[in-house]
Amino acid sequence: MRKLSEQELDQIKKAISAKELTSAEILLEIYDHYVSHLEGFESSKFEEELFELEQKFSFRYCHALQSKFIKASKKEIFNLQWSIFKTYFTWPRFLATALILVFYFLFWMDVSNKTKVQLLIIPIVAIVILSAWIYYQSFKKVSKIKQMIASPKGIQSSLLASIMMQLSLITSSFNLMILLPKVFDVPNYMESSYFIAGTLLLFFIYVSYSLTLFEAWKLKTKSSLI
Amino acid sequence: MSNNNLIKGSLQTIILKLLEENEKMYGYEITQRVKELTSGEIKITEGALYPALHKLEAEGLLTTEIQQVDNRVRKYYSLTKDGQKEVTSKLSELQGFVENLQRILNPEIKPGFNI
Repeated sequence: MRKLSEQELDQIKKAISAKELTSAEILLEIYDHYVSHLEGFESSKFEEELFELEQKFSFRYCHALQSKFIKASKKEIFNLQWSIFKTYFTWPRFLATALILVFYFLFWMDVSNKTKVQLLIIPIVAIVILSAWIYYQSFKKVSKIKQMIASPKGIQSSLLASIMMQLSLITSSFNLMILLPKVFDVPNYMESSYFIAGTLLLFFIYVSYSLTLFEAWKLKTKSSLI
Repeated sequence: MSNNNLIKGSLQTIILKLLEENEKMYGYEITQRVKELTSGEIKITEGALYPALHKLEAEGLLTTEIQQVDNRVRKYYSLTKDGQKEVTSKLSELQGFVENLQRILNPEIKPGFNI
């Protein structure tokens, strides 16, 4: 076991950088694998061993690994949020949530239809602030990896990418709800009972989403790059 | 037994068992430990190891921890509570399979034979 020289480390970084990976998790894992492996050989064998590693971690293999990892990250975040959602409703929490919903519903019935739609903005703002905070925390953690390995493409956490994709779906659903009737010039769409029921449903989805995202982030932040 | 196809089916069990015995491990360490335990007879390829680790992580059986080691960042894997439960079931599943395989390969072995 020996320490690799700066020149050798640079050579490894160049080799990994050439793979044009974007997932910080995959990059750090491959870099650690290369260094751990090469530390076990004399400097005379460095080139030969690096060549062998390059055969195993080919461009194609690395991208397939990255693509599978991104898919797995999406699944992981979704599963985590879903399990949080399911386990959240213990009896005291269920009663407290039901009580809050009753008060909200009473208040909601009293306001104009336009205000009902505007109320959707509250959880949207909460989700955007939370996502910005997660983005900032992840940016700080990933910058260490960026300093280590440069990639011609941007590097970011795959878990963060999944969260950001969900965020875009949330904001798109909001836009769809508000803008689509305007685009098609639907008269008095805000008076439609379907529209009103839709806004109530979206409010519930947005609140659930932001709460579960926060809990999922609290769990994952200790152990990952978000 | 260095056939990759034979190892592929039991790779998850191997990973879970190793992590049960060692509190936390990183990818390269797992490949080396398997090599060491089998005197180089079984070599886990990187091509199979990392997708398996990521799959187990996504399924909630493994959790990760990122630590600074020397001048680099290392990702350690360890078992979650669900993962700990899964080790027992995966091991008995594999053991049952090996026993049945033994019976096929050597029909003289009576049922109830333990390896």
